[in-house]
Amino acid sequence: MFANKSTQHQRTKMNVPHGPIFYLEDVSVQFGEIRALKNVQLSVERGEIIFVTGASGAGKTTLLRVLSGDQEPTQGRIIRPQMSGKKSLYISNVFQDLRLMGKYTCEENLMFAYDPALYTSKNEFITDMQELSRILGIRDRLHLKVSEANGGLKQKVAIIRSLLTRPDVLIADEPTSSLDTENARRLFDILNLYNAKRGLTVIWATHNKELIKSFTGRIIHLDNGRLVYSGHACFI
Amino acid sequence: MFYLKHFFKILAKSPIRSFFLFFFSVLLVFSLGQKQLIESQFLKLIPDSKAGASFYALISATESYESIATKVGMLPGVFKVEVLNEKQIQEEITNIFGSLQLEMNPQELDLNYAGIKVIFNKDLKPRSQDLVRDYLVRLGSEGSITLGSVKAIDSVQDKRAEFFNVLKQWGYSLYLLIITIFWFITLILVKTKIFETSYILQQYQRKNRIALKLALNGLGLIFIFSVGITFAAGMPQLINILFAFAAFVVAVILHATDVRWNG
Ligand SMILES: Nc1ncnc2c1ncn2[C@@H]1O[C@H](COP(=O)(O)OP(=O)(O)OP(=O)(O)O)[C@@H](O)[C@H]1O
Ligand SMILES: [Mg+2]
Repeated sequence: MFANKSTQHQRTKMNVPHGPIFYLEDVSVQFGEIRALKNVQLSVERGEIIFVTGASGAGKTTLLRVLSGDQEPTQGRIIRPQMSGKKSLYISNVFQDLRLMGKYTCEENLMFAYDPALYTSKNEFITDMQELSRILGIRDRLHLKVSEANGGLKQKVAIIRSLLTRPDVLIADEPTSSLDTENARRLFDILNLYNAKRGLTVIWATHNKELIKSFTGRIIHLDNGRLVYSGHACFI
Repeated sequence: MFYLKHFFKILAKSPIRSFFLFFFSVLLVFSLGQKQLIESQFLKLIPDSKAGASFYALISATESYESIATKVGMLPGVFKVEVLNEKQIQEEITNIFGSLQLEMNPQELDLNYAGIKVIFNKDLKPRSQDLVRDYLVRLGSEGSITLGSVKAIDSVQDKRAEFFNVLKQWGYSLYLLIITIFWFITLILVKTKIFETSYILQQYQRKNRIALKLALNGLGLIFIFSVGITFAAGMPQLINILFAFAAFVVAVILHATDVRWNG
């Protein structure tokens, strides 16, 4: 049995550059009495777009936290991109509570993502920022303080901020809860574009059923901590 | 430059905390470095408490009370001579009449007196006090000067003197302690802001240990600025500047812990 596991491990390790960037084996997470994740088995390929669905309390946030490395499993094994060799892939998180700075304007919040090492010039960054803001229809509201912004605006700012970090992986936790379907779709078009252009991997937890219906990629469904479905949306 | 820029952005967003951090940083370094200067300021604030026991004297209007007051004031062992006003004299007379157990309203008497209060030096011996009193009586003609009894220094004043003495001894240390506490409070208040920004920068840029680097740059600059001001007031005590430096090192190290989001 041990031999079996280690050969399997060997294989995943060898496959890393082209194969899965995340690999979860029998992962459980326990919070005192509560088991938020139960024996989850999952692998994520580079360039995939995955929706994570499930009722409130099903374990979506916990799964995403395990993937981004904020939460260690209490049981099982995990391989994350950070561990997978030469150049580590960069993960950017959109948190359920967004984590914006209330005292700052939307634009100032976005400017925190300006890493001079990533852009040839500040202008390039600002062009990207304005383009994304334009597509999501918030360019004329960037001067608003976050504390005065509504939920939809804040979610868009949080997502744009993450995209401006030019991540390899985007892990987003319910970032569309305040968006109507039209806005959610526009957002999703952007993600598809980044996915096609840069090979962005997206892991996206959501309640938005409308969005999932029209979606052709992979869906992971959690029920009470168990991963009960992984496959195409149309089979749900 | 990256870190200084972000440090000043943080300060600009929280101007009140930042102002106090600056203020108390400069004050702390200055007070440490210019210990003697601060101490001498302290001594100036504290009034001399050389006054000791005292007594009142009523001088008949036929005598020149001003020249008497001046003469007594020049005696060795006399700290000060005060000329009393009308109301104080009335009170004194009432007291004297009271002690003589006379049933009389002094206001009904047409008394024409001047009054003085003679204050001895602190710790003047009773024998010397008596010499002063004898001298005073002999300055006027027979029966024209009446003396009240000698009153020891009153307890309220005594307490005050004691307090000032303690202040003289411990004032600087106490002052330094209070400033250090205030400095530390403002430091913690600014630290929460530094941590907030650090969390965001760390989360959305490929950098780490940002809080530490922000603190190192920002607090370092504030320290250098404070030392500059201290030197501008004259050569400071270098060993104390070292203490201030140690305080700032601790302040920077406080920023080495992991940053978390608590919004
Ligand atoms: N830090 C924690 N300590 C204790 N229990 C926790 C903690 N985090 C999550 N839980 C519990 O684990 C379970 C799964 O929580 P999780 O946040 O992953 O669900 P979720 O699917 O994201 O729900 P929602 O849709 O409401 O965001 C819940 O029962 C929750 O109460
Ligand atoms: Mg959640």
